[in-house]
Amino acid sequence: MTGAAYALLERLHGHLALLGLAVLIHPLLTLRARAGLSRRTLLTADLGALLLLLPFVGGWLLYPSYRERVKPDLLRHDLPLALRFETKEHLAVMTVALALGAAVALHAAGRSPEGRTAARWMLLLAAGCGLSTAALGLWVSAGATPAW
Amino acid sequence: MAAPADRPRLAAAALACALACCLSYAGQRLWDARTEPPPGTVLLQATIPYYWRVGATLLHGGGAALLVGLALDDAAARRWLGRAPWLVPLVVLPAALAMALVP
Repeated sequence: MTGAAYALLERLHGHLALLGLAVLIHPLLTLRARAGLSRRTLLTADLGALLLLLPFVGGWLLYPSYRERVKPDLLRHDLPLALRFETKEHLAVMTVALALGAAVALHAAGRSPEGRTAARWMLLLAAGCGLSTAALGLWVSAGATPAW
Repeated sequence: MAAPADRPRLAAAALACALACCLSYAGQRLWDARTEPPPGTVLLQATIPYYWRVGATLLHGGGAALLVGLALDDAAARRWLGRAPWLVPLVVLPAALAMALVP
């Protein structure tokens, strides 16, 4: 991957993930405040999950270049930052799993209070893990300089 | 967009899949950490453990979803969904904390 492609994909990766987290706020709030399930809640839960899945896939594409061009330098010069990157990757897996699980649960059992409760708790923990992931991502991207 | 159906078994399977993914990923990472050299001593590995770990996580999540979807009836699935307020944090928070402590 060229340096320009890496930089572009890295920015898309971060921006889409932040957008996905912002979109997740809507189903989180409406599932808490309302008794039923609106189509908009379903839509934003789906959209949020998709907007988190896309940067996750983008991260997979970026990872080989990261480990060849960025990680060795980070390990040599800023080990704590390299370790924070690893934590970010771990939390991202949990975020995507929970957001997708919540979207499926809402489609499958969104009419029942139990289905909505399960989806809300999955979304809540997805948002928590996602915010931590985003904070770590910003921290790492501010300190890491790709060697192109 | 279609209105949501009432399929609690599928929702319970989705819950099981999400929780199994979190547990599986964290468990694999902690298992790997037991035998790894100290951080910073290896600059570039020949394989990418992250890809393998995520692949195995998907298999475990899919397996858990299949088991739950087949094993539970609708009433039991509803009961499990109702346990989400304590079950989800109980599984996810320790796993997330472990991933922060063992990067």
